[in-house]
Amino acid sequence: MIGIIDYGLSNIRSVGCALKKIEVEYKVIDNNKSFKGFSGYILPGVGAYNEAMKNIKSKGIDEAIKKEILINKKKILGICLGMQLLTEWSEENKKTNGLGLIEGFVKKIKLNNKFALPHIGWNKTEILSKNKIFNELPSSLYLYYVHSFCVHVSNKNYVLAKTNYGVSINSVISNNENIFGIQPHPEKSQFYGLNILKNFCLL
Amino acid sequence: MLAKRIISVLTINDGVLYRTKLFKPDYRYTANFVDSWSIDEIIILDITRNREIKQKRIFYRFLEKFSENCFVPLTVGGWIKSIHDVRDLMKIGADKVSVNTEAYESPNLLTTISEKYGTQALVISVDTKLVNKKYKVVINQGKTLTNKNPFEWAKLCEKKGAGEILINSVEKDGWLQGYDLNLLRKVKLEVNIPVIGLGGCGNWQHMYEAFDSAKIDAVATQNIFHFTEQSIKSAKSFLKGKNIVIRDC
Repeated sequence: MIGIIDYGLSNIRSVGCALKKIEVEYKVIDNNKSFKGFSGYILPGVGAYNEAMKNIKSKGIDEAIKKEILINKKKILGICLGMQLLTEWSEENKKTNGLGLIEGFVKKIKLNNKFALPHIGWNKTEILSKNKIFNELPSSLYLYYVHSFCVHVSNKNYVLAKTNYGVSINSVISNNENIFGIQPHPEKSQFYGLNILKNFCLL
Repeated sequence: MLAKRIISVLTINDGVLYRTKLFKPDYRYTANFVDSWSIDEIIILDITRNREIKQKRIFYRFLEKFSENCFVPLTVGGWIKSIHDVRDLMKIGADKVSVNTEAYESPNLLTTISEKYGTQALVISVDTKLVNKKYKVVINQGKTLTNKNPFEWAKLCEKKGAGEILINSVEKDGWLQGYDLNLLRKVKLEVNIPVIGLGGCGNWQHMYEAFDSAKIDAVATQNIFHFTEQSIKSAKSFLKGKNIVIRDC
């Protein structure tokens, strides 16, 4: 059973529909008392970083997540903003501290005028790792991105996939144990995206 | 490399899917025609006029059902007046919202939405009309002509928080004679957010022209994908043959 964490902003339903499609059982969690009996969590994300953290904190969800992930070692997949929230801080709107589950931070993508921002659309993503989350996927594939900020991690080994948009952008990060973040939207990236979600749920 | 996008626009009137010509409903077809596996993105617009609570419910029901099997990004627009509408739509499957007249009437709505959901979740839809060879913004589903220049308007919307621009031309809508390349090119030069062109696409060559000559990021069409099966695949292989970077499917 996967818990989809709802902090009031995300496209919960899109993630739910995707899990239904790949026949994974899930429950939506929107308070800190419900973090029980799950094999893992998905932290979806549409929204602004500071708004999201404000919501997460006001519901006390941050402590519940930290306990489940850091102490009970449950797995988590952060999607898009959800991935960014796993890091220590972001500069979006104003500098805001995140969940701090993975060493890293979030900054606006630096671009020259040739590239439009937000970075929106299907971008070729290069897989750099043999992690099980990429089972049965080609090493280079199109996934759907929609974001203006990107995650930087200090440990190179944390980068499992990247894409190029004038600059190199980290597409998938992980501590190579139980914490995963994906910048593109697997729930909106058709076959390949659903495949990644399935692999995560099977971990 | 980022692929150019092909987007299908579905216009819903009173809960029924229509295509439009010159901004008027034309005839019925069904959502089943949309090959939602090979299309890159879908935009659903509620073009119901004088929408009451009943029509709103019908539309929401349609959307809820549609989004259940939609595994590409889904943008929803029409009748978005407040942040509450955005929240409701996001809950039933929208990934992004598109606003038009309401933003024109109160541009701060763009800021309110983008501050809460991020600029990437907000599409500004701009309808244009040529008046004495000058482009003007039209609102209220093409019914009200304004004095505003769409290029300045587009720039302002970007500043206010819009993450993408969907630009349409009333004259080209439904004629299948090609996009207004001049319009698209000019908008693209004015803003730094992605530009989606709509209005007039009749064949794959028109898409190619929009990418190659107007340099826009995505083409949208509400008509031509509904006539044949496999048409999106065929559009994609045509564009690929012309060296446009496109997502394989």
